Amino acid sequence: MRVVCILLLSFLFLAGCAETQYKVNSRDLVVRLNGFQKSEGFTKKREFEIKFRRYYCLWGLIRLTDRTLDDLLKEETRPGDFVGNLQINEKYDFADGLVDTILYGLLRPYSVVVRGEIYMRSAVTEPAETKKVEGKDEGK
Amino acid sequence: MKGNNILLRLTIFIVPLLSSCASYNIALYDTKIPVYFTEGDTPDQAGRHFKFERYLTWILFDTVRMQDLNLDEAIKAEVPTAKKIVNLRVSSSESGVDSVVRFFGTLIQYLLVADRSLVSKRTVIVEGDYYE
Repeated sequence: MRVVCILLLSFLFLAGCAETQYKVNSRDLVVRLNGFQKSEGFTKKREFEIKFRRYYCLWGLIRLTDRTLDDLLKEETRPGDFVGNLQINEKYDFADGLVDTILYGLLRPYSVVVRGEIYMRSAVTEPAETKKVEGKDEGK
Repeated sequence: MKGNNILLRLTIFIVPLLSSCASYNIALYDTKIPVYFTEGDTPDQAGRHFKFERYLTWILFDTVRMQDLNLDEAIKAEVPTAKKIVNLRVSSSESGVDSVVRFFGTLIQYLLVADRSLVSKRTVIVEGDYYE
């Protein structure tokens, strides 16, 4: 009976859980999943890597902490920057497993690694996209 | 015999701890068309909306990946005529069906005293607008 109750509770708890969402609302940035090419008039400034943990409780039913893609990219970029080659990796690593195991799923962490490259427009090329971004800034 | 049983349980308990489980990547490797999370340099006319789902499956307490997320192939298959993709949104969760799969996995999970399910699924929803 106890096992049945635990299983039923688990079923209820685990419906539609551990949700994630990646989108960019910022109008100040241009963010691309693939890279910007030299032939398009871009030069790579640098690479970046951001690591963080997303915490859920009750086996993933309730999200306790999260950071949006906007928040993460704001730390690494300035208005008008171009972000390319964005890669998002979600995993459940050793430390996550340890916390999860000790607390038996009551607190469930997931590791997220966001990697990317910051590009700038080369001076030679007329910045069509930059103009658009600047125009939006002025409107704010 | 009893020793073997304890060893099996310990293995099931420890292996997921030591490996990166339930891992997946949102990335593009050989897609030539630009794929923007933002609006990019969009033309004046509105793009066409698209939305598709991909299912990820892991077995053996999330340690073995059976179905992976290959965004290059998915974009090629779902929007083959796209010349540019903008306003990309990627969300994922364990849906109702995934939850049923996890339910049966959980049944074995409790019997084997592990904290991860034997089989788990995750649904990834990719949506955005595209221009031809």
